[in-house]
Amino acid sequence: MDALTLIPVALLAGAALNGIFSLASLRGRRIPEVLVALVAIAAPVVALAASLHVFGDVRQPGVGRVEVELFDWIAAGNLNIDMTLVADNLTCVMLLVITGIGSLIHIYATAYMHGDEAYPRFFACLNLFTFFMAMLVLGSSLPVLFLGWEGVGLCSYLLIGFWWKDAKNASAGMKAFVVNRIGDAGFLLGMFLLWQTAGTLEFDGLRQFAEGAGGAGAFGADSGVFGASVATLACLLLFVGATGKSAQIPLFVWLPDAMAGPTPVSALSHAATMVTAGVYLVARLAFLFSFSATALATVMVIGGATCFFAGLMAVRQNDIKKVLAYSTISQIGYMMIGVGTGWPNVGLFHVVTHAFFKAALFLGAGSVIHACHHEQDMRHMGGLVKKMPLTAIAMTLAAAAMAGVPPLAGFFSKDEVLWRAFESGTAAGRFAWVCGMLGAACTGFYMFRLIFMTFGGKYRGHGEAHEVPARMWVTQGLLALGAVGVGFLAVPHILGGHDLFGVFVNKTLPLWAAPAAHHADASTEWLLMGTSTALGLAGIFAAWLCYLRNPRIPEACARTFPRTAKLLEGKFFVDEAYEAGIVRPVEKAASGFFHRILDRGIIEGIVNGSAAAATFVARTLRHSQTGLVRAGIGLMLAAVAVLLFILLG
Amino acid sequence: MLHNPAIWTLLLLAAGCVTVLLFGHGTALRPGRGGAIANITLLLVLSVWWVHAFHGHGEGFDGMFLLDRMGMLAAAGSAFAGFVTTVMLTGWLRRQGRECAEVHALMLLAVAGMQVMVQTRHLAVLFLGLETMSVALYAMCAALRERRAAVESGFKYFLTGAFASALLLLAIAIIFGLTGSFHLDGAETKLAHAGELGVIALVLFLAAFGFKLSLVPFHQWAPDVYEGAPTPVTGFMATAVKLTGFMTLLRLVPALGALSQHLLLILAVLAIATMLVGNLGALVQTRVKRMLAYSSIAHAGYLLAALCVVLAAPAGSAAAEGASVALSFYLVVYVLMNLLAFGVLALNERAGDEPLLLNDLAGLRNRRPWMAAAMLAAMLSLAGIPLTGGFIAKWQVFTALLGECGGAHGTLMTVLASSVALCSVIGLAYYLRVVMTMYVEKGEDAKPLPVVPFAPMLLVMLLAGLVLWVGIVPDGLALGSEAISGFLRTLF
Amino acid sequence: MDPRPYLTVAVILFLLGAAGFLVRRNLLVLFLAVELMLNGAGLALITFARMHLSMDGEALFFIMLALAAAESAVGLAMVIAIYRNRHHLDADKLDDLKG
Repeated sequence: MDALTLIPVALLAGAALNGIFSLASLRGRRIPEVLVALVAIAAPVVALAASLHVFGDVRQPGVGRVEVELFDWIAAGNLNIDMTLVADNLTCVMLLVITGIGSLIHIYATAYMHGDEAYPRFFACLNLFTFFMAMLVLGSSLPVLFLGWEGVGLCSYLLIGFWWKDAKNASAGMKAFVVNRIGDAGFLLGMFLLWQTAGTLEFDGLRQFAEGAGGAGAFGADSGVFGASVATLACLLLFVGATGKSAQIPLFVWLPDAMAGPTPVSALSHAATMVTAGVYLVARLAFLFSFSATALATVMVIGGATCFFAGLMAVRQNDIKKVLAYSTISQIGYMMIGVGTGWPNVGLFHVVTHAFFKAALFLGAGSVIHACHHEQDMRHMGGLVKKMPLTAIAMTLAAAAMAGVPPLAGFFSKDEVLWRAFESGTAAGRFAWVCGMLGAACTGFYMFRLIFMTFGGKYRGHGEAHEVPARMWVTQGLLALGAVGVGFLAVPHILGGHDLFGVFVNKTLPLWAAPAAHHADASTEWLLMGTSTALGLAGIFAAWLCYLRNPRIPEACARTFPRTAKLLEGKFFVDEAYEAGIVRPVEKAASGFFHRILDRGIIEGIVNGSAAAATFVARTLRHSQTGLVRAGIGLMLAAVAVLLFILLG
Repeated sequence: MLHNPAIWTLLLLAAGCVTVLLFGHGTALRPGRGGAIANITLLLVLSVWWVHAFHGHGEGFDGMFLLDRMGMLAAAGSAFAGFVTTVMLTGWLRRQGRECAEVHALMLLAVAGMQVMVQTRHLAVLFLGLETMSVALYAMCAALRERRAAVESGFKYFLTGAFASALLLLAIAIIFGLTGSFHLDGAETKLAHAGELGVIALVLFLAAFGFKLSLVPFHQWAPDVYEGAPTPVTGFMATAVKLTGFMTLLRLVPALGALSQHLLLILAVLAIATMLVGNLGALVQTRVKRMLAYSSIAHAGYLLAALCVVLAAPAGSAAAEGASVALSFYLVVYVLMNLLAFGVLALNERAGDEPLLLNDLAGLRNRRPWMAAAMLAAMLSLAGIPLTGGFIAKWQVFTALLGECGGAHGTLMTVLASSVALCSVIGLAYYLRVVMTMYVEKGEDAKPLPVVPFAPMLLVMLLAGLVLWVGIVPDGLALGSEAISGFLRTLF
Repeated sequence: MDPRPYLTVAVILFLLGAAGFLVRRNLLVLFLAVELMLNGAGLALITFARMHLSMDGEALFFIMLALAAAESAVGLAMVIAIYRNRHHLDADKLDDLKG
């Protein structure tokens, strides 16, 4: 078997073995945790080794890509889809992130989940999750990508559901489900449109079609929907899918709620890998997005707005995982800006750096929660630096990296995103740039607020906190080191570097929107870099001022500006706005007119308006079902009479 | 004539039926063997079809019997449904404390009727097959004759069915009067000039078939009858009857189309009404079986929409061909997923009369993880969520509809396509409610579930696997049965 | 042969049966109504058979007779079962299942 096939096979085998263990343990057989852990770790590590091998192959001059056709998947009419795995430079980057960081998280999780009764089941799901994520990036066509896309979604429900205990978490799962289905609808429609236009769903085929003679004409044609071109419509539909999976405005509401699962799950799915699938999708279809300036501008505007608003929402959260959740949304906003600028490599580089520091932060948060006896509220933490210095160092490094402190990883990636956005010169680019700058200040503030509230000051919790086992701090330490060092892969030219990452990725991705002339010169670049760094540092300083130096300031601020504070604490009341804007009016109308027709069921609550109408009609119809034979036959006769009357009369 | 497998399957079924009645009754000490005999018979029938599945076309009995792939698919499908149902029924009846061999004999008769029905274009033979099937089904519904609900269900089915038969007979009589023959081959030109009598025949025909396929407004019996009948029998009615009914209708559509040029419009209106009423009806049910009954009405609407495409596309064109393939595929998947859903239901029903409520499934995930997974597959597939057979099936119908949007009947097709989409969204609500109940609610205070015998459980898992497999590898079924067919041919 | 008188009788029989369904409540009478309808259709069949000078129509009529007998057997058994369960034969009180 070649290395490329080995990647998914190893992961699937791990999942299958652990699934068997899980079944065996259900039957009362005791499976030693060590065995489960070994299998669970071996799967991603083997996949990592294979990925490295593939990476070596791809990097050889003149190769560029590795391809394996496994089997014919769907052959229906003129739709032919092969199960083909392809690895090019872009895939390699994603693969290394998924398997590399995935391996570390798996190792961490074996310690974190120690003693859980469903230990094998958890790792079966985790391995399966990694498998689907690998399939997502390895697929040679949109349907295969979609398979992985749905697979990771499914696994993340399973993993969130792992600790489903109360109805609140259940409704969180439902929210995630519904929002993602909206996204899927967009994805499927986009896919359908592409198939109709190009007659293929293979990435290569699509690209050849796009670059071929008729491509520009076919994609530029009017799609008949609001005057948008086919390319614009397809890209926007697919982007709806991306906003669902990557938690962007307006479909981001599910991600913070989905933090209910065990922390390693949050680290793997909701931070490092799954949510970046949307970014990957846009990058992979870069050639398609190049046909539509509108679509690119939309990506940038959505990314920018998400980046800033999610950053603001993170500022007043007290749950340590919620802060990280909103920060994830905000950081994905940067990635979207990056891929929207026309330089997908900068967005992807932020994917890579973010994977490191966010995984480190999540694992650190997991350690803190573990140490504080499952306390997640930061108001009951504090002073942990003495109790768990190693975790504190790792998390601080990762936080600094995210805040963009030079020369840590986040500095390079974020700076480049902002620079490209500014340089693009369009209105959307400027908007995204302003949002990104403000977001940088927020990032500094909320990250160090987290660090200071958790590790600084005095311990405010109950019970004795303690340092975590070695397997846990070692992995988070490694990730933190990555967060420090990985930035040097893409040192911009202005700092004397060669942007190795960009050069590597751009071999696969076309630079479709490369600006002909630089709109801004080197001094501007220096200035921008300085400003964004300064803003980040200012955020950190403000956090220090408010939460370490003088903890009374936040309260004073909240008293002076009660409305603002409430707005931030309530996360801009987006959930409530969805509730008040859509759910409530319908409910009111329904109960007013039809005497509480709306069920309090979960589905009806979410599908709101249409459900109310449908249920009302259904209830009415129900009365027509009298159960009398003669009524049924009478209806039949009446129908016959009406039909005859219409047709003959 | 003896090369025609139809005769063999009918002989087998008749022999099996007699054997069940002779030797199937058990004594107090030894349980009955009716189920076993019926199963063996049905497996033999299935293998006969498999042997012939990909070979041989032709006619028999002076052209009254027709041997083609469509008929073979439907015949084999009904035999398969009968097999699954017999396995389920054996366990179910035992749990109710009954051993009725006659039910198994009736099942074989019903399957025999279906085999006849789907393999003919001769109206008299069609009527014979249809009635054989129906009479057997009336009796099966009322099998537990001491139960109020069962007998009520059986009698409602009987009365409405007899009424529909009378309509059908009159329609056949009129067509016979117009053409002088029961053969529909080559009758199109005569029928095209039939005038008002032809229209009357068409409407009566549609009413009779509308009853069998539970199309709105000929559907009122369906929820009541489905609810009162023994659950495995309900599963059989929901799957096999619809399968054979639609296949027969597909066969007759060219002839019927000649009677009136408004047939397409009528069918489209019926399809939309059926989807809407089925989905809305299911939305407010708390009894799972009744919900599934309405869901099967809704699916009849989708199936009818596919039939509309067959009619709308120019006759003999690739689009019409594609649409009938889509219809057949939908039917196959529909049979699989409904057998699965009703199978799970039958396994979870306690002894006695009380219906299984949605709440009884609460927390099934923890209590019966495998069963819950099987039901999950069924519900997702019925709802048409990707990676299940139901999705592929619905998607094919949808593409067929969209493909005809630019055709001669573009507006109608667009309206149909949007109704399919709208109704599928309504459908999500009640299918997912089952999923939520199983997976989210705790169900600690739910009543205990009955013990599950091994064979039916195995069958349920197999069906769940099939439903998912079709969703992931749509060609899988065809490939698999081709392989089995080849293997069987080497044996015989 | 002029088929019209025969057909008129057939239609009248058929419609009488259908009307019987709508106005009567006794299960046994409903039963008779079905038979009436079937026989109306049967008469039409025979008429057409005579018209076309073909035996096919008569053949189907005999098949129909046999099927109607089978139907009656099953139906009457159910009528008896219903009477045992409920001690009445009123179609309009047969509504345990509805909604």
